[in-house]
Amino acid sequence: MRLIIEDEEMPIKVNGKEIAVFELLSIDMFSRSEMETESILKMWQEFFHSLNDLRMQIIVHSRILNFKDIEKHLNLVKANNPSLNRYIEDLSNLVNRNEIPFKQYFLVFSPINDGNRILLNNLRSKLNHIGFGLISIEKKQLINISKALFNE
Amino acid sequence: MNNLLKILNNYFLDLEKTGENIASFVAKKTKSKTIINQNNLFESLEIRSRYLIVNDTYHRILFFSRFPAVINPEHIYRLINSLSRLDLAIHINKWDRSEAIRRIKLRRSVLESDSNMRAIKGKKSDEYVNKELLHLETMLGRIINNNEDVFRTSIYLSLKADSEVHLINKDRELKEFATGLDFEINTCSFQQLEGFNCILPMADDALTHTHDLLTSNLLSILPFHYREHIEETGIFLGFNKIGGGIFIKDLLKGANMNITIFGSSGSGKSVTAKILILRFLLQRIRMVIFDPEGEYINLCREINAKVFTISEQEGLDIVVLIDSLKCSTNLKVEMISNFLFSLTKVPLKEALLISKELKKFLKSQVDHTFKALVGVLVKFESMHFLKSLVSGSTAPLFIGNRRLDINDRVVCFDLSGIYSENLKTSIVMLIANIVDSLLKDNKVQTLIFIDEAHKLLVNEQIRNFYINLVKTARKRKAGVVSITQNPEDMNEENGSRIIISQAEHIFLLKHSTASLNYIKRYQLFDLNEADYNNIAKLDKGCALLLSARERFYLDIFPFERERSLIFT
Repeated sequence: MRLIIEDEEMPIKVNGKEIAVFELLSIDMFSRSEMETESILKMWQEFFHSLNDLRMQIIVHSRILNFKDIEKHLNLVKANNPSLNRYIEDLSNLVNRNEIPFKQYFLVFSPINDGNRILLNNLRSKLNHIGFGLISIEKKQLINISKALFNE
Repeated sequence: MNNLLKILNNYFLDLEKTGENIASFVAKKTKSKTIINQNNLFESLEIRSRYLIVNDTYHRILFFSRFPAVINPEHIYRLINSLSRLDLAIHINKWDRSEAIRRIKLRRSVLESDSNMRAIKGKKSDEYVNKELLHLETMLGRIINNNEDVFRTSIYLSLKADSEVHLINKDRELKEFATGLDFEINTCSFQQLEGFNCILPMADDALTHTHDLLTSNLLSILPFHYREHIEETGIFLGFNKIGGGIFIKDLLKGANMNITIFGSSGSGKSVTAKILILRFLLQRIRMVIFDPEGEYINLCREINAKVFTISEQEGLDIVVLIDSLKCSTNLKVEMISNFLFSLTKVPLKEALLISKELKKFLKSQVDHTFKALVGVLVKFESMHFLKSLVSGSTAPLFIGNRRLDINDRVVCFDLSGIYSENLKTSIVMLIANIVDSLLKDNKVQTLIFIDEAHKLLVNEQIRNFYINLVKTARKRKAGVVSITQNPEDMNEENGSRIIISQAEHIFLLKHSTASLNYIKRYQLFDLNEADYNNIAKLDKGCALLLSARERFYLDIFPFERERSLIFT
């Protein structure tokens, strides 16, 4: 499984050092049982223990939910049942008229070398195993994320 | 060099070569504190001593200047969720263990010598020095004895507001709140752009406002508390009670489609079921609703569902109905005998004889009506009661030559016109049995809603049928939505606990203390102490959704236009 950047020729570099950026999905510590929470914390503990030279940045981007965030869902509903415009209207209105919080979580790692790649691969498979998603962010997306931190 | 995208684009390209940070980069490129945009991406970036103005939005970058000695994860959660527009960046850099120990010891010896000097001079010992010494000693003990690591950690926050006044208010609010939780947050004065650099996803801690945290404290500041749940193929159910994020979930995806809704009277069970019905209309599924109290009729009429009423005015000859089905005689015999045996206890020997007689009756050329069948069966002692069914006040219930199909998207069986509870549950079972047979070779996903499901558990015959229906639903591309008050009705003793274990999604609404005690005692669900307290205090329409391995506290939300249909 490829980890950092699909296109090896275009790694993301900052200050001459390659960085790896991921978005963390499906996280909900409140949606876990006590035992699961414990094992998740243990997993993080082990990961932190093995960090060594790898620096880590955790970013929480907290903004207001917008229509775009639910657009795919609404399109799918429309495709399934075009006669049910009410739901689409109601949900769109709800999103547009209320300040519904929306959070995104990013993990940034630097420097990236072979040893750290293995470490991150392990982290990804462990997170996937417990139901978290960890997806790589490409350079273009990273610029959009940075832009969003300014603008949204 | 006028738009943000370009700045950031160039930033990534240029920094690879030059090794600059964004602050010096922007300053060098612009030679000004204001960057003007020529297209619409953003209008300007204005750098002030204590905030930035981007696209008319005011940003203030802050940093954590003090952490409490012991960090409470709940406090971190409350702190970072106190404002809706806030970005947070945590930089983590692991220290070499031996280096960390060496530095802590060095600091300790400096402080100790300072303390000794004060003692020699006859001065009172410094409270802060003593506190730090104690802290260092604890840290050292935990590093050496508990195998904890030390991490240089800095946390930055970016507040956003539409005006300077709002920004200042938010800033004050956050700082006051933080102080109350024993954290200290300061503004990155004259370093706003450098601070922003720390927020951007570049793993570059330009300001290094670091604190040494042990592994246990680092775990406590992990901000992965919750996020909104948006499954594109799902349905909108409401909001996550923790954090308020939107909750769109696909309840049909999973090992099976069985759902249970538990809650005490008035907790919002029917409301939850009605919202599910309305939302499931969005998906290409069929719904069959058993409505023993007539609670769903208005909703069903409004959504053009087929309502099949069974009452004295609109009777149903069960033999005519079953005879019309395209299934084997053996299955028809099984359906009728199930119904009859659910109404009274029948000795095994007699049951076999009755089944034989039934088969003979269905194969015969005589008039196939319930009344005619009763005439044949009354010779059996256990079937004497049937006479009262066809001659007493219940007689009109068994007259009528209606056929049954489930071709409509939503079919609702209104059973509120049947006054005998025993008869009602037997008829529910009979119709569910027919529906189940119609679902053979079914190609459309179907959900069978059973309200007041606990009533199906009282009678052994009906209970066994119900358990089997839930267990085998998946084979028919179907799921059973069981709506009932107490999970304790589904217990090990009567074998119905399997209904809970077979449910892919369980909605737990508010429960009474007695019910919760039972749940706790028999560990019906994977809940912790906090869950038990929370469930006892849930507001109407709020639920804990246990969904496969996940658990969500939900505020189940009806749209404005749905309210009149739901709250009747």
